[in-house]
Amino acid sequence: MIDTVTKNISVITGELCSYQVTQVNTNRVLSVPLDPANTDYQEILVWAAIDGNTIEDAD
Amino acid sequence: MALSKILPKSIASNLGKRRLNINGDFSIAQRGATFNSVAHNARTLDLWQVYKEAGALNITQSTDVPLFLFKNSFKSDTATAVSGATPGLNCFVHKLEGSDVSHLGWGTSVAKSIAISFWVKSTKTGIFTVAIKNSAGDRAYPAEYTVNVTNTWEYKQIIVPGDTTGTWLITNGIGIQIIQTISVDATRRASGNAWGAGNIYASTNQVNGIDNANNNWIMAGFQVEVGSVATPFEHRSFGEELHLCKRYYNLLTTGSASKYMSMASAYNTAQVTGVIQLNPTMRATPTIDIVSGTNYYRCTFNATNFDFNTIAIDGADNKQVLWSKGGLSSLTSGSGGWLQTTNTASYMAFKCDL
Repeated sequence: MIDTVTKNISVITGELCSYQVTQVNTNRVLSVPLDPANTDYQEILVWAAIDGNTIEDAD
Repeated sequence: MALSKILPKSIASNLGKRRLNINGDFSIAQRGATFNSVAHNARTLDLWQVYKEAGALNITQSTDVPLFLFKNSFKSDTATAVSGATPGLNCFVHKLEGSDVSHLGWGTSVAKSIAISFWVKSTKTGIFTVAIKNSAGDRAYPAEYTVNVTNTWEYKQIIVPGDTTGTWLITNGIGIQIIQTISVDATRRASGNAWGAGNIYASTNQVNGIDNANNNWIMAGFQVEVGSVATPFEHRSFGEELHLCKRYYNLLTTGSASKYMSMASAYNTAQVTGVIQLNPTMRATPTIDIVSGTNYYRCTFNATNFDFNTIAIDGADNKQVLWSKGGLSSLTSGSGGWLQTTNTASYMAFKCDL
């Protein structure tokens, strides 16, 4: 289950290139590409559409 | 004159690569072999996902197999039972990629039948269901089979006529979902052995397979093939089966404190990058699935170590991943080195499950 989602900015292009996802009750982290065919990316879109969930800017 | 023997068409069509599904012998378990109190939607043995909405299940890669025909099986052990005839949904889902089933012609007037065969050993007897569904979950065929004797291996064959309507993907998305249901509520049932609309997981006759904490349900030799006859299980080598699984999940490292994963370079004084080639080509651009921990990963440049907790995707497609790590300091820009693990709890894989 998604806990937080943070934007990751490319070292090379300076543009958004992936999302860093932390999950509830685990130290497994996901680095998710911006690919509509990726099921983790699809889950982020669903998660972000829920009131109260926000994708955070990169540090 | 040389003689040659030409096989009848009905036989010839069954030669060669018959099995459409991957990991039907349950030999591949890249994520691990034991999943206690498995979470809803969890990925377990390769290409097998669990939907768990009631009770608690322990999933294992078992060595309980029928007649020495296989090395492994898929075992569900009910840890917390739910009584009643219609508990919540508990099922095991295998998804066939659309590009692998395009030749079935589903959704057209020439849709071909498929044959599903498997061994099952269940504490609970009675009628169970294998549900066949499309990607959208709006077409379903709940096929019934009966477990006749408790805790005894039985061989089951199910013939499913091709669906001539509905939308069935032939892309790199979900082509066909095949679902082994052991329990379900009343709202997601329909008449058995017939195509229909709706998000159906079982027939109206489905038993409650989780009504007792002593219940086990075990499956072995699961095969899906084209046609109206189930043939003997097609064994593939471990290497071939693993290679096929890596299109969806590719484990790079686990359990090692000194696993070398990638060459690396210092992009500038604070950021490192590297490229990992994916073999085989994956279904889609993968996620990096990584265990984060204090200084679990290390880059070494000019005999100096730089430790950090995790990495991220900087750019990728389904053939390679450019990874990066920022926030470091005192790197010598342009230096070459490598990325490695430093802890036995370090873990990294690429995933693009269906």
